[in-house]
Amino acid sequence: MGYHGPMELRRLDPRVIWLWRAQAMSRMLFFWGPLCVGVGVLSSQAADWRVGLLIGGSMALMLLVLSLLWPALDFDRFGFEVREHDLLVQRGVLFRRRSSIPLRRIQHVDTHQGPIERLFGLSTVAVYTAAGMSADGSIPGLPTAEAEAIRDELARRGGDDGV
Amino acid sequence: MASEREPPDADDERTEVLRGGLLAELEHERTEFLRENHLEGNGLLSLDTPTEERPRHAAGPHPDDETVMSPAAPRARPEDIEPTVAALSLDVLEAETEEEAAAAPAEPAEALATDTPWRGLHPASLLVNLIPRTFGILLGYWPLLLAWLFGRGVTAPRPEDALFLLFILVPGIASTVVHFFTLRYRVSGGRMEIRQGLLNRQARTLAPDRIQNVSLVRNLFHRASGLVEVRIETAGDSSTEGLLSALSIEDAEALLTALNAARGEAARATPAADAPTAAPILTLGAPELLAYGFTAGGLGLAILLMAVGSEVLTVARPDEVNDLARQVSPTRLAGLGVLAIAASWTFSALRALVRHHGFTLTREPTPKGPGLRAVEGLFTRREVKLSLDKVQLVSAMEPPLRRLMGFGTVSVETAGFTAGENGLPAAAELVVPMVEQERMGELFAEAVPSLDLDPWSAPFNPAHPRALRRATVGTALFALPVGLTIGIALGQGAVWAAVVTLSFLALMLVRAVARHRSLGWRVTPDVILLRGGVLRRNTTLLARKKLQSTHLTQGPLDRMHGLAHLTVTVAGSSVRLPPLSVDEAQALQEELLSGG
Repeated sequence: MGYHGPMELRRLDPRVIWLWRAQAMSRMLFFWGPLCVGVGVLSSQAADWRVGLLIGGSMALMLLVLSLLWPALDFDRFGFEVREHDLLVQRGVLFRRRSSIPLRRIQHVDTHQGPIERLFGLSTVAVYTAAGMSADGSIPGLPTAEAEAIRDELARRGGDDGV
Repeated sequence: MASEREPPDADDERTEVLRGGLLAELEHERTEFLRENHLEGNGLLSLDTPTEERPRHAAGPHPDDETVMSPAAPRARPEDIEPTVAALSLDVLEAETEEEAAAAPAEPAEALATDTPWRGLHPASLLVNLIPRTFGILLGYWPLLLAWLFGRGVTAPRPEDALFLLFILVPGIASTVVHFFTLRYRVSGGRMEIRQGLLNRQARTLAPDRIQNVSLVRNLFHRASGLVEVRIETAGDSSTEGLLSALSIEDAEALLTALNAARGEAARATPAADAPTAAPILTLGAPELLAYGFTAGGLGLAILLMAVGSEVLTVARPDEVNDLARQVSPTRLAGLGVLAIAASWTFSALRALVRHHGFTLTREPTPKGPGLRAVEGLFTRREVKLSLDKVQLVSAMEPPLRRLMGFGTVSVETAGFTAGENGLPAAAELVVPMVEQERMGELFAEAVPSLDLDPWSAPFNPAHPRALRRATVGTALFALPVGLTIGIALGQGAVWAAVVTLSFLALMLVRAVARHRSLGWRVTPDVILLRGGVLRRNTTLLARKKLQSTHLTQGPLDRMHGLAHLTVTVAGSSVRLPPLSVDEAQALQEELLSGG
């Protein structure tokens, strides 16, 4: 039994699936790939080179499939809504999280865009409260114009910080 | 910059100066600045002239800044603190123009009455800071010093020793001296400003309504010299933002008065007013403190003491230690263990006596409404004041021994952070070390007046019944592989492996069941109450109007059982409610939105 599905909430731009895939690929290239090679080399030294190839190769293949598949699942599970009193952000495939941030508690809102996001024309909105240094809610993968509109709306409706 | 200044027709003097050339004007500005800020004759002024400060508070966000602040968040952000090495004279020019620009719209007319001139630390602060600082450095380097003195075989002092000491001490001493000579503070335009640093200059601006609490600390040297250390904490930063390490009592008073006035309230509560106005809520005497110390001392400390002792012995007399090691029997070892535990208990009892000597908790009004004030300490006198308005979370901790004696420890947390021991950040809080169980509810209500029930007698809601099954499954999933690994690693055969695995599993299951039973929660229109812990019971209270955000989380196991956890955050902390059914948790999340 999950939460009430994200269907009734606002969805991200579908392009975000390919953005996440691209981000996963870059992680694959710089982190997971070398790790697979390392594991493969180690196990080929311990046993046969064929064993090494098998272990390293299957690891890499599994990670590759996951990084292509996972973004689609993540997208299906992602929903957000600026409601009357709060911003609701719901996401997560295995571990789900449904965050409610009262609008009057919002300290500051920013939008940012990384290099890969820029290629896709997408931006991330991050919402901060007085609770801590990290963003309490962030909405990735929005068309830049929409992200800016949401940012301005949230900033306008922010209020008392309650500290 | 000079071009931004008013046109030369403003006054004749200015016109003439302009004609006289830029250099002359700079000199003129400098003297004017000195006169205005009562800093004439301070030879070191050139080192601590104000750093560049953009008129951000007044003008709002920079146009190409992607960040948008909400209207109610005029907090001093890191961008305001900009170390700069720009040339002195231009700095002065700029700072003056912009201070005028910034102060004028923010706080008109009468706020100027609250302004204070730039002030520095008390001259005696050098001494007050240097001695503990030197001691602290020596303490920090003791292994190195021991190694240096005993590790070389020769015990007679040599000239290099002095050099070595100097090498260790000079950086610390230099930073203390620089701190003293460069730190300046003032209250201006309703804000507190602190500037310091020689190479790395900092300018901080604290808005008074952001101040979470003010503590006054006096160690032995402060008390001998009649000085006081003022710590000003604001929300969100992980360090004490305003630390004025030694002020005279009069200066501290003047500062607090100015801060209070800047908050738009009549000046009250000054540090010299030592006599509490109301009868104390709670005082602790020697018996309670001794009991606190005994229940605080742990095995960890005993082990640490033993380790330090053996280290010293090994370094000092290696041969004797070897002889000793040969003579050690199990009985002697047990005796040594008991001795170490007794020593650690004595030590922590003594520490509690010194640290919390004369603990007194009183009600004290603050400019923001009712507040609490705690005073304690034998050598270092600590005084914490907080306004109830700023209280984020109250918690009671009852470790097994203390709970058996019918006592617990209550802490009241605000959103600020303070530099804790070793300079690590610690949540700013007021801790009442030893409270009788019957009075803990009363203390909770004292800190959060909207609490309308006694958490120690009112019923709590249990965790959802299905959570027990979920905990069992989760525990089994964790305990079986771990137990099996340990059992196999022992290498005593299959029977032993099975016995070890099963007994580990049984132990963990008992723990899971006990933990499930200990969980409790309750939500009233004003507060959230939580309880948990088998041996060491924790009770937490949050005011609903302080909630920052709520998060419903659900892992795969929770989903299988239709459960979810609700986490609520306040500034500085977050707490997780016991598992509830998904519908219940989601309904509660919606309900909490309407609180406060």
